[in-house]
Amino acid sequence: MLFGWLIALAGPVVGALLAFRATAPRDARARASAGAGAGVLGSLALWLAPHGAPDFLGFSALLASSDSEGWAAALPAFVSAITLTAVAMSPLGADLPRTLARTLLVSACSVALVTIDDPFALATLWTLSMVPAWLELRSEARSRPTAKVFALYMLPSSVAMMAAAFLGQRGAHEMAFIAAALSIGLRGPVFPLHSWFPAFVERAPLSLVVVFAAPQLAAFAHLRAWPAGLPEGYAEAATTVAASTAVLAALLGAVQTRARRGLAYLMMSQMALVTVGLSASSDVMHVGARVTWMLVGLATTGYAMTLGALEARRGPLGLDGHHGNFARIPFLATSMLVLGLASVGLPCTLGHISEELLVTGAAAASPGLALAMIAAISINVANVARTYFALCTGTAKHEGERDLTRRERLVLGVLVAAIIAAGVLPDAVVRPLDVRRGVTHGARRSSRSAVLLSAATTGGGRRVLGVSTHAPELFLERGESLVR
Amino acid sequence: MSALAHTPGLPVTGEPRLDAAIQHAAHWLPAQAPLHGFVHHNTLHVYEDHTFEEAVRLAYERFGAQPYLSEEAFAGHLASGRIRDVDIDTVLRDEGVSGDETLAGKVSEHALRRARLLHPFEVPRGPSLQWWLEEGNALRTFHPAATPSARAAFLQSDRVASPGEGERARTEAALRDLFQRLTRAVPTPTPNPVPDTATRQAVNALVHPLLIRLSAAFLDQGVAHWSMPDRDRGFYEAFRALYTLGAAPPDPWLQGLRATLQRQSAAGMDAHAAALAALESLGVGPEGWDARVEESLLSLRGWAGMMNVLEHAPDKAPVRAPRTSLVDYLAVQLTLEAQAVRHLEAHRAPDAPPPRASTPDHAIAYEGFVLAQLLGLGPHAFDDAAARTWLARVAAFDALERRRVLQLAYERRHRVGVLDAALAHAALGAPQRPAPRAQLICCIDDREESFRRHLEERSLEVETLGYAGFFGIAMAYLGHGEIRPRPMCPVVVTPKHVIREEALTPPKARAALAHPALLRARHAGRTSLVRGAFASFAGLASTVPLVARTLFPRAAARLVGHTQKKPPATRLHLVRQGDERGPDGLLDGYSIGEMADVVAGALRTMGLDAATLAPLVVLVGHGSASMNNPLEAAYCCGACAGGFGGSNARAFAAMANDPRVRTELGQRGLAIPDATWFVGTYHDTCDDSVVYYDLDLAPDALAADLTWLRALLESARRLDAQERCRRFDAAPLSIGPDAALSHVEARASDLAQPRPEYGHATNAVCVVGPRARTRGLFLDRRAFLVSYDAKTDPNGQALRGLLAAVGPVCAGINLEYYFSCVDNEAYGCGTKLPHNVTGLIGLMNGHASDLRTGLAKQMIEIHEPVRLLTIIEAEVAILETIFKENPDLEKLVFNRWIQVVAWSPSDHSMREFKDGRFVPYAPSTSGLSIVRTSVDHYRGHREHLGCARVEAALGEDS
Amino acid sequence: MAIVQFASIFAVAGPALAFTILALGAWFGRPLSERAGARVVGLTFAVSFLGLLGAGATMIGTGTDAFRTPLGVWFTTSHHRFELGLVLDRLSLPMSLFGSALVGLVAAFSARYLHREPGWTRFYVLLSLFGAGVQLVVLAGSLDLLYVGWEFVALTSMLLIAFFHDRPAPVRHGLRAILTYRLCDVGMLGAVVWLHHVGVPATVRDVGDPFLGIGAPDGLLDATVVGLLLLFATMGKSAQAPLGGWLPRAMEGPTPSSAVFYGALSIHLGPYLLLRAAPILERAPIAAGAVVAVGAVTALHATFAGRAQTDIKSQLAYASMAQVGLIFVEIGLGLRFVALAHIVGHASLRTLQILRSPSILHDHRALERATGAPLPEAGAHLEAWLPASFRPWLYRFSLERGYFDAMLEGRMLGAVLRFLRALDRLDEAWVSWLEGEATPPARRNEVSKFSEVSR
Repeated sequence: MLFGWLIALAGPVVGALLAFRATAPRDARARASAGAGAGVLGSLALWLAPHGAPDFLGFSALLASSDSEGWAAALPAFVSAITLTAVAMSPLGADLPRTLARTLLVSACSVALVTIDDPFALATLWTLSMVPAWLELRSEARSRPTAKVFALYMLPSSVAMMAAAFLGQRGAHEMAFIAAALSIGLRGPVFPLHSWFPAFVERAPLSLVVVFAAPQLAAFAHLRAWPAGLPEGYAEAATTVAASTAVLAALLGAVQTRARRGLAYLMMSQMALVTVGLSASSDVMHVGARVTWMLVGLATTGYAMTLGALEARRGPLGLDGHHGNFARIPFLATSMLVLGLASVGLPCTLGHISEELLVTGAAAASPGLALAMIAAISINVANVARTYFALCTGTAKHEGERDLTRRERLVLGVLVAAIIAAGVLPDAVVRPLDVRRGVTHGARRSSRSAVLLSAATTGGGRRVLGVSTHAPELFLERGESLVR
Repeated sequence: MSALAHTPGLPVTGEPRLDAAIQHAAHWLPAQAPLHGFVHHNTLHVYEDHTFEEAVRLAYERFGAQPYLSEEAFAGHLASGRIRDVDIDTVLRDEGVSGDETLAGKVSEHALRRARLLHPFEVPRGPSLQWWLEEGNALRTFHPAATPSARAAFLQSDRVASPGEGERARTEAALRDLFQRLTRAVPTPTPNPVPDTATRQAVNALVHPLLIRLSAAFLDQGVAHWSMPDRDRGFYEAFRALYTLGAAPPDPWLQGLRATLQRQSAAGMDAHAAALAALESLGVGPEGWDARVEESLLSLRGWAGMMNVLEHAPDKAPVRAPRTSLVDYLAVQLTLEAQAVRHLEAHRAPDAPPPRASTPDHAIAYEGFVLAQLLGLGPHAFDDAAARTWLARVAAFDALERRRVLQLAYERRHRVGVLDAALAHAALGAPQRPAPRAQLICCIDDREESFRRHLEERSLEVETLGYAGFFGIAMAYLGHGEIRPRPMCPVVVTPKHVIREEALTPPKARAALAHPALLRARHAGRTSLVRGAFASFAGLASTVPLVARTLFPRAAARLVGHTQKKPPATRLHLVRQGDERGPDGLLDGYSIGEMADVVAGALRTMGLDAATLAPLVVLVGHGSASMNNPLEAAYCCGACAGGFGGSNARAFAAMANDPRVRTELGQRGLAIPDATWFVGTYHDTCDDSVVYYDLDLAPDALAADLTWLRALLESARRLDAQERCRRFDAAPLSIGPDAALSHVEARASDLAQPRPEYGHATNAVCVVGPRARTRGLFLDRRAFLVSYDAKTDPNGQALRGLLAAVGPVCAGINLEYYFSCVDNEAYGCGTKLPHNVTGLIGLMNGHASDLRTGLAKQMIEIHEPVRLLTIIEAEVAILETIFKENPDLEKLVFNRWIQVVAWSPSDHSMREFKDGRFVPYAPSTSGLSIVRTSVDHYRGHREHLGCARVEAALGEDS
Repeated sequence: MAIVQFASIFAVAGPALAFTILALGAWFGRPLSERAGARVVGLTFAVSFLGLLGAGATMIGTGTDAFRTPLGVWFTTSHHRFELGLVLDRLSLPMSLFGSALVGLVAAFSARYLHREPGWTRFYVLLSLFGAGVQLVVLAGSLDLLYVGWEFVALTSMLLIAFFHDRPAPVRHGLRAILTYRLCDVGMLGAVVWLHHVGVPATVRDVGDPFLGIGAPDGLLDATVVGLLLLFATMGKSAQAPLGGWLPRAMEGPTPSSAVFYGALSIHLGPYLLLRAAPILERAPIAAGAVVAVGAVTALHATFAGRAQTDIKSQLAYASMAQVGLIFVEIGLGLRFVALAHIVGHASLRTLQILRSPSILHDHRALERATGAPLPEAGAHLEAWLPASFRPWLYRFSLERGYFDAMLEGRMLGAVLRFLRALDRLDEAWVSWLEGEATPPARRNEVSKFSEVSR
């Protein structure tokens, strides 16, 4: 277990080092891919063979116990897979070694964050993962102003997370809750705290964007903080904010004229959907949110990287008019469409399963909420279709674009195959993510940070218990798990 | 564009000035008639005053239409050997490209161009190039086309490389060095103002859908159940009447249109005034009218062109002539555009045009970089000056220029193949044949070449001749049961006579009443809700034709054929007694003298007289019938204005058999022997069927001959079908004649078949001369064969008339195919699959597009776009006089729209027409394939075939 | 009953298999040859058709009205099970039989029609997927599963409209179709959600009607809401007023796909869904009334608009729309067997008419010959009864297709988009203020406003 963990962490770090030292971008990419690949192998080992290696020096005490929340054990693999996709799909460019190094450092922070089980460590890594992204924005004249905006939003987020950990430990649960919510909302991002995000997606290299945003550390922090769901009173507010973010972002995506900004709103809408699911008081939605999280992470990564691949071939991508000659780029176009639609619910992909779970889960809770989610998803589909048509079809002209290279085809092919396989045989994915099983198994040994932060939940929850008549059974169940 | 504005003598403003602007713009509009009268013509007819090369370049600049095949296509031809090195060398030599001046290293301009042409490679631009350089191997390894010797030379010239370095590292360093040197030499681009197309696009996006809807409604010939009110008042007034009605359309951009139109109506404006008002409202002064009118009209050139065509020839409308005029159309368009501009100005934030990258384009550096590798020039061949010169020369030889040269090489290979084969064939001579027992006079159509060849291979006693397929009878023809006569003559001729087909026994009244009901059922429920509902409940019956037509097309067609009543026996009403006029004011038939003129003209031109006429003379008219094919007329006989030419053959035979005509001819010294009988027939080039007319009138003495000939035709049409099938991917290469006939029959009757036949595709040659020149020469269905005998026409009188008719017709067909082939989207009408017939007059893509003109992709996919190689057996002097006398021909020949070769009847030498004069032609290849029969030559081949000598047609023994 | 089970499964799985074979071949750079591809697809639909025929015979022979084929649980969570199952009953059997026959026929037709077309493989990939989608809609044992097929039909429809991708118009029209579909999917998913909410299983089961159906919620309000949502769900795919503007535009694809989608199958899936949901409409008279109203308005609108159309495909599109409107009316009135017969007959008729639409020149001439006179100017019936002053107005109304586009696109959608753009600009301005830049970054090119409006 420890061995796997070390590799999962060291892979990206060593890869970053090697990539940074590479003179040629091509070598940097190869080394970074190797590092990310090692990370994937390590995290797979961590996931699939949790007890395969001897525990020495007591390091494993640091790690979240994988059997407490079975699904969480897969998270390092999830982050590593995103990283590998992003790195391997990065188009070459003079600055690539530096960018890749920073991307991998973000990834390493994220892997550590999802494995280490300590509120202060979480808050530290939360902050650390922002630094390489900020540095990357700083290093280009074009994106330097955006670095400022990034810092203006991320610094409060990191401070708030620190504060939440501190307050949680001091027992100021209400305050801790608010601080954590602010921190997560900023990074989430939720409306109206989102303005940094489109700017960030537009200006930063896509690989970095993807590795920074797609693993959705905000969702993870959310789960760590409130593993059994938000307290009722807050839950409603949180779902409302998240659902409006999902709808609004989808709507704003519909009027974008630049593909990257469109991508930003698509990601934002999808991440908000995850937050809706995590915040809502329905177990089915919880599972749905987790499935959506995984699915969106992978599918959107692929989608974003196909956009990146196209951008490298064509320059800035506009959504006005039609700029693509499908005949030149059939594989790229098909990948873009399939991955894009998969991320918003294409049947026979994991996307459909996640949508089904989210929506039917919401149905039990509140039809209004379900309708909002349906609307957001529908608009997102339209946005993906519009992006596809604008970028990949509509003209016979071209400036010599080439289709996917063999490397890109391999990466995207594996990704698409995985998403389809998981969509056809969803039980393999859905079962491990089932919240109820997770909670019942984990009841005996809840993780430390969860206990720390979720004390607020207990307090809040009890207060609501007195007045709430809604779904008492569910609520009691949550309470139970915490008491035990 | 502004040329007119400064031309002295033109009105400066007002209506005449506007008319001049419209006239000017109308030249660029397509001249295609409504569908049912589709006739091939030179797509760029109005440019014939320019040389071919200039014209295609002008059109490229104006419409963005491609002038030649793409470089990728030429690359394919280079790879397949269709274009050879020697062709490129010869063309470059003829162009006078210098081989002396050295540009870099020891490389001359000639070598540069040669390398560039022989090794076509793609040059990506902008970010694509950047990506290509970064992700690809361009800067790491040699270009794959660089030969080992070029690579060695390249590295040798690289003196800096340290010897210790590996080969790969050296290569990479040298390549990078070279590329850097060349990038440094890229000239900084002069900032080009980008024309603001955004406004035009925004205006079109608003105006076009409405304008298309209105134009289609106005021109509709009977598709819509409701027709546009007030159509006879002209387009503009009909539009104005419609849009001044109350409760105006709610489209945001149309707000205010009603007020405008009401003002115009109150002021009693006509179309001219309305157009002028719109121009004023758009802020365009008279100096800008030309440009503006042209821009507007060309933005929907299909519709504008149709308005223009029908303004000048309203009788070309299939059902009823609409009152169109281009001014009306322009008035509507400009009024709507003014409206759209007003709307956009009010609702659109002013924008700076998108920033244009002013960085130098490295594409040229990349091009020069690859070329240097191909020629073995290392980095040190390029100091700054050399690099600049190099890039300048590379840039000068741009894609357009390269394609022009490649086109010449492409045409040269074809020309050499045909001319050398013809000379070799003639040199071999031919044994004496028996006097012909039958003569077949076919259309000059290239599709009849194989039919004629197969006939002649089957019997030495058959002789075939080629004559324009309307056989000199410029008639309007009213078939039995038809509603209105249609012209059956070349489009440039207006028929003065009508010939009617009459049933021998008058049909019983009301006998066919069930038939219309059945036909109507097909359209049931297209426009009526209630009838549609009834039809729907009965709709399950449609599954029968649906299944049959889809799964068993030929059997279904046969079954339908069996159930249909046989058409009654008919005769042509041919002879006019006095000066009777038909219902259309046309002369009702021909007088004896007129008939004699027709017959004499044809016989004289072909060199036929009493001595040479065979006992049986068969006229073969042709056409092509197919299903689900709105472009059917384009497959029919062009000489009959896209009609079925059988009636002309029938009429000619009837004329020539008429004893009164024979008497008249005898008096003119062109007696037809009594033993000679003419038979009219019809050959369907799609299913290869042959129909015989009026056989019951033939004298009994000819019965045996007729039986013999019909048997010959039976086998010839099967072989013809077989030869055609080699071109169809869906037919196996090993197909036998009988199976081939079934195959083409199935094609003709198949709803799902977008290629019932290939039409004139592959046409490339025209031979004007006696059949003896081409008999036994396999020409692969690519040649128009025009019978002409220089011996009987010493001063070229007959040739003069012949060329005046045949030259533009064949050139028109050839050039229409050329243009539709090189740019199927701009010149042609694209793929047939989404076509939508509108108003019975034209084709659209989908529900509202511009009218698509030209040929469909399925018609040209096997075509080789070469200019028509016209070989004329006549003396150079006579030809030169003829060209000078006929301005149309002069333009075609001198401006290189066709390639002309004179074949001397006296010394049998050939002379090519080049740069305004004939120069001797010397064969450069030797050897001509000699085969026993055509089948031996074409069997097992799909591709274009070279010429071959077919012994069977000549009576030679191998 | 093995044959029935096989037939139901193969009807869905067969085309899906054909899709997989063709798609994998293309992805790995080894597309099937035209001959092989056509054979695979043709065989699939032939087997599927024969299987269903056998199934029908067996069911009639054994007097079975309905046969279910449970396929187990797709996935479960602790609170949710997604069960898969197919249903063959007196409603789905004819539809399914018909679906496989028509898709198979069009596949055979297209083998010749699309010969040598560069997008040949793409066409057959999409056609197979469409075949699977239609069968899934028809045979689905629950609304959740039906939705899967419903989406595949939408997706393939969009991509086939945009089949000729190198011109902007088909692409715009494909986008417009998917926008309409997705808008109406809100109704579909909403109905599923509502049924879940009120605890009625969204499965197709025996509800004591001639056909199996989706059970109605007990509450009148709930039934009405679900009925209306389902009606909205069908309005997109069946091109009902006022959302039918995409249908004439959809004729931009190859003729055979237009025939099978908009003449035969896709357009009739709306009525089919309503037939399945008939118990709900029965329970909720308001919803049933709305179905009648929508159908009647569409039928009238399409009849009038169709009469002014001057191109054959638009005319056929409106004719389809009108008949589907009538079918809606029939369903709303509870005439289920009439509606089913109408669907089947109309689909056959229209498919043939669209397939032979390029023959209109021939047909016009043949009709003239048969009647022996030029065809009279039409429009002498209904329109002659109207006052003369009203006729031009009605003509313009019809020519402009009832102004639906102008209202929906120009006015409503336009206002929403303008608001969103303003919001987006505000966001950008805020960020550039934070960035400390004097001027906001290069703004969008405003042409978008017009290019988005797909006409």
